Amino acid sequence: MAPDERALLGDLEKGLFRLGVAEQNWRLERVQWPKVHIALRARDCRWFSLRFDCTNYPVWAPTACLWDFERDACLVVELWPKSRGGRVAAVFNPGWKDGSALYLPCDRETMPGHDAWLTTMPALVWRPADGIVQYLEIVHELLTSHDYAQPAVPTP
Amino acid sequence: MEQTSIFYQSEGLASVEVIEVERETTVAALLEILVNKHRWSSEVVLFAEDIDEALDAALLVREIETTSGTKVHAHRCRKIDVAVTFNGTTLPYEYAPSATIARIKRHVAIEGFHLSEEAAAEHVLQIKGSTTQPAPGTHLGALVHHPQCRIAFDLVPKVRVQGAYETIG
Repeated sequence: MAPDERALLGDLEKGLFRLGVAEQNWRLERVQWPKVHIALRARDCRWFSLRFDCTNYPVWAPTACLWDFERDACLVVELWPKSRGGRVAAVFNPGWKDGSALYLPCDRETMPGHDAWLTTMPALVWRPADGIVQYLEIVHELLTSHDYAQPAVPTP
Repeated sequence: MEQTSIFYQSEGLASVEVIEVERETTVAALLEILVNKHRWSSEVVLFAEDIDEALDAALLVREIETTSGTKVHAHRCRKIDVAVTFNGTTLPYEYAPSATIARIKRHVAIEGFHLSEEAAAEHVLQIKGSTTQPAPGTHLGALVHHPQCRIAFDLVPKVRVQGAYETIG
């Protein structure tokens, strides 16, 4: 097993990830290295799957996109979390890289070109020591915030 | 004997740890296991999450179990003084080491600074003099080292991720 996969699997065994599972904040769906599928529970108890690419984890930050676990394909935009005009829309932005990455400082594909974030929002920049739970906590906070609104169409 | 997972935090631990113990274990025995494992001082006491009083040593683990994970905190401080500053005003509070950042933020924002529920949710506690914003589930005691049983925060707005939008039109 490669060091990056071993490191990720080790983090999934740690207390903080397991606590999130116990609290039903998130759940592991599948590891198909380097892809890792984790679902997160939103304010309305709807679950959203993220497909992470964890290549060279945790030295490199992961990158994640919304995923349709049933169809094994990117989640159609109509089923994305919606915003009431606040912080959620900025992160779940289908116009950013065609929806292939979340617009977050802790996302590997998004951080390049955003050096200002190192000073304007350091708390959201990837911290290898905290690992994938940092990414999960940021997304879970958004999905349970007052700004979250359910997708435009109901889940089939 | 049936086992259960205990999630615990403490001063000096970088993150949440988890240990499996029998449900019939007493709180006193659990504490002894943890003290030996981490070589903690005998002054350490156990608290249940968001409960102000230290756990009764005679209780059994099954008596403090919760459906969303049994969470405890080990610390030498019995109480922690907390100062929170918002818009130039600082308010003093006192919490148990097992108080979560989420509970403190909500209490201070709504009861102390009279923010609405919705406005409170759009703010976060940041350790004074740093950019560290502890996660909502972090226990207060994890941020404090005995005998300095005190900490100060600023209550700051959550940031909207923005910038460099020229790359996406």
